[in-house]
Amino acid sequence: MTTRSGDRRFLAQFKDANVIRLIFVTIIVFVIMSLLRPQLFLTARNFRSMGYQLAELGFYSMAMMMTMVSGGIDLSIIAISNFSGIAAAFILRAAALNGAAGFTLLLYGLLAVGVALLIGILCGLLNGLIISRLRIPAMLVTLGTMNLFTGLAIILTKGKSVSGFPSQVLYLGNNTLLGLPIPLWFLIGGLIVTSILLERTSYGFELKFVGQNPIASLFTGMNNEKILAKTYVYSGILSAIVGLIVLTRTNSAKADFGQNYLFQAILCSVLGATNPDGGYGKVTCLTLALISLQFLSSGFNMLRLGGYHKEFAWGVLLLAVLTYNFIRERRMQRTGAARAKS
Amino acid sequence: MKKLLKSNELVLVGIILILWVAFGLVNPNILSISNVFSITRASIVTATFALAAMLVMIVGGVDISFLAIGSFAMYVVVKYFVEMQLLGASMAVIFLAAIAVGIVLHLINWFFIDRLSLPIFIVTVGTQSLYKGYLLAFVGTSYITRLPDSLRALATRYVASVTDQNGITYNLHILVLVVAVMYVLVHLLLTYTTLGRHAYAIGADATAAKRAGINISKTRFLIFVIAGAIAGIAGMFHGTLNRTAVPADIVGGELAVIAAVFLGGGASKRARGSVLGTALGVFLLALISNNLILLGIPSYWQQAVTGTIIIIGIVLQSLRGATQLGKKGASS
Repeated sequence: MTTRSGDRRFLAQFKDANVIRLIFVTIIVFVIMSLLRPQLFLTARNFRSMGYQLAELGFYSMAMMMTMVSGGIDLSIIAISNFSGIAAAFILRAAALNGAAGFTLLLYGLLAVGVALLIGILCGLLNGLIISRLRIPAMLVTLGTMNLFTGLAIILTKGKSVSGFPSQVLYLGNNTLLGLPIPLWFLIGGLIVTSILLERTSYGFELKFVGQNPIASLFTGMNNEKILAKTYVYSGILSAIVGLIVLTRTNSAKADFGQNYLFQAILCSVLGATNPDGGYGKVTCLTLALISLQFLSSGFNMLRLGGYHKEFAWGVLLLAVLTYNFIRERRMQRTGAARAKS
Repeated sequence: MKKLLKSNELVLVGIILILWVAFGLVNPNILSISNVFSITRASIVTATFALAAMLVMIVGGVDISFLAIGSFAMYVVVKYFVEMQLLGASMAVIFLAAIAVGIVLHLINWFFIDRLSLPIFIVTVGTQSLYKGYLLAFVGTSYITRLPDSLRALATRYVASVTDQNGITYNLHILVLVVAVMYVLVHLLLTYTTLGRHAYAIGADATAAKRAGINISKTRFLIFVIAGAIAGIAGMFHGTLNRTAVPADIVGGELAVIAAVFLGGGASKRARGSVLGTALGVFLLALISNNLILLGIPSYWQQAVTGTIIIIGIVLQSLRGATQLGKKGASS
């Protein structure tokens, strides 16, 4: 479309406008929710429980953001995380059955984490190689691999859930460290790493370049295939981490866990100013989007309105922010044109 | 162009035939007419929704909201007719109401996509959440088991039946024929009308289409009207065949329908979504999901096999150079 290059220039020019806008959105949601239910919303307990819920959507949205910045998308994130979570679950269940404790348990734990991450890497690599080598659109490829990975997870478990881990595993997912839930610490770590990757490394620069204009990046001597492959591997790793977090939080792993997260992650990532056509993404914006979505959903819980109101509100919020962006962009173009005339 | 179109569908026909014969060698029942009846019966709803998804894909984007639209239209309309004690309402009136709701909801999508020049994919991710949330939060969550009489009658209207050696009767549902007629009509529309040719032109290259003087806004408007109507009809088919109106029970299964459209050539630049290809894609996926059990393969293998077939189909398309949707498969 003709507006797309305009979009991109706009986004590049007003990077900080995105952050400011999202801070406003977050504050507005926060204020509304606090006013509606102050005695419940503004409690430490509520914020802690939000922390537990935030981690999963947060990692998924990060994976989505990275692949979107590259100009693609990853629909297989949920499948990868369930697949790797299940692999880890088998190892941990074996640990519990063998009555492992102390050092042996630690070894089992490390093995479980290692295997989960390895599966994440391999799944991501498969995505990345098909997308970059065969030049097939990411959406088609990851739609196929989504079914494949979920299918493999179903075969492994015969469709049942895997549970019964050592109690230490559960501790990680359900306790706090320095006042914050442990999964939230993982999320904070993930956000910092992703931010550094995106803003401070040559890979991040190349990733945005490839996402913005793959032909230009090729002519400047970048290895597009390698950059894309890396991105999908990273997405696979992030997904595998969710698999592990889910395992520690729910004490089970299942092939069809969390299917709803897929579209929510897309929604969150786009709300966080990620350009779905590639080239722009910012961890600060993503974090703010994540927080405002979580405020909305916790607020609705407090109001004793279920998940349906939440889904409705999330959809409205996304469309409202997109509409606002559009109006703002048009106003900028108009003032620009007026200035050019005079 | 014609050649490409044909060859992609030939590949699909080839895959279907190979699978079918292979399945048939293991279990001859799969080749029987009764099995064809049950496969077609099982794919009525998917096939209709696939048509709606395909139309939007032709004008250049992946729609995520069609199941939410279909569910919304079906539930709202059934609830209205049941609560107003209009159980005797004629089928035409009920379907027209669902079509109207479907069109309105899809035009809301069109508004954001066209007037605000936002990507189809992103807008429909938002509206899917919005429509589903609205339906369940504000319209209702209860199941309606007492459908209007005309729908109850439609649920068991058959045009042909076959009894196999075990004495089980298999029926060819009338809606299978209705769906077939819809496919033919959409095919004629896309191939022989200006609207159809314009739609393909926009999907292939919107800028070029604009330069050539095609009214993108108007073409998309009409395509969204048709897709919305079809989504409404598909929702009614789902409720009718289920014999219960359940709000938003199918929402979340969008990607399975989209996979069928992709398999049918929805990914290729020149023939983004052909009607025959879509029909074949739906049939291929239904063939796998309905027959693995007859082959003695445990049902938990189904999704892995489906995934493999999708990947093979897409890779075959790309190897023949037909996949040109570019890196931007996710958007616009």
